[in-house]
Amino acid sequence: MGFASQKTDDIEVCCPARTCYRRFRPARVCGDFQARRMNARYRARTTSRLRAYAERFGVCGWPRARAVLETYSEPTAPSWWPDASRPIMGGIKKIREKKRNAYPGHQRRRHSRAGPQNCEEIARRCPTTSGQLRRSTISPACRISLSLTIRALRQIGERHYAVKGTRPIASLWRAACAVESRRRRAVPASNRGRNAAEDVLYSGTVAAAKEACVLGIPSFALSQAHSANNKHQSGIGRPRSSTAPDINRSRAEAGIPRTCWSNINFPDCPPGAVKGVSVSSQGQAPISSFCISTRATMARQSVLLDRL
Amino acid sequence: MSAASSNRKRRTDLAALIDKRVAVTPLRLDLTDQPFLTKLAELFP
Repeated sequence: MGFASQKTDDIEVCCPARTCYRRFRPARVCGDFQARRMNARYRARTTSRLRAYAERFGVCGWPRARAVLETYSEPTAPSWWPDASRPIMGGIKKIREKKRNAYPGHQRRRHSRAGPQNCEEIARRCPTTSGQLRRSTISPACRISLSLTIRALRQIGERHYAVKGTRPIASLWRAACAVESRRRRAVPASNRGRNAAEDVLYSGTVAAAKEACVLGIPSFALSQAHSANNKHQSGIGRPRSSTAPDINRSRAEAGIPRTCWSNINFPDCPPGAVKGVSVSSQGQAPISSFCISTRATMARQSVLLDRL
Repeated sequence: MSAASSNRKRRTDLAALIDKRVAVTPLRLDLTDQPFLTKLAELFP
């Protein structure tokens, strides 16, 4: 008999990873001695009497779960849950690794391998830029919700940040950083695919530059045109990285109005085939270049206006 | 006049890309069409 209890029963479980047994369910019986020490009484009709009692702690959840996991897990297979414990575990049979993509309809977009490198090269060679923005690989359906988290901003290279969110939100992110650090420098946004003519109205890249401009930060949008044939060609994108710093430097020398930003498009050709720089106005695509197509997305039919 | 030839005459970004040139287009926040604004102002004095 001890001071704490008259009798104690410990149930221990084997923890293979720790090569030991761990107690997970103690049960104690306290007699008169313990009741007298703590003056535990119960009320009778005329008087109160000392109360002997039994003390049983609940099942320690985590040690039990750990013991079960370690006992039933296999190196290459998911952990099995024993039959006896299934009712209290909601009837699950296996414990699988949680899928990272919890959003329905999530589709990761493929980015060109040369894209981030080009962005970094532009940032390195542009003395007036403070960072590069790149669209994240999150699908449009998930962008808005994910962009509201602070952890959406991550650095993936020297002066090169990736933001989970639309380009306007990305631009706001960078603008906020620029304002905070009091480094009002040009904010570029880059895109793979041209943003000319009516594309300007719908482009997230141009919208990012516009948002930065609203905040009073000089900005420009860089877009690399490509066709279906040379979309994955390695040389595509080099004109952007080789010419963009010079263009940006010239723009800075000319004096950029606070209410103005530049939309810069690079042709889909190797660096040597670029014939020069043309200061142009916003064009208009012929109506014959558009087509209407339908696509089933997430259990509903969508009508798309696309280019031929 | 077709849109393609109009783009080429106006030195637009589309024409520059077709000619394998880098197109630099300055844009601004104010989308107001000033000539049409003047005409409308005459109609609604």
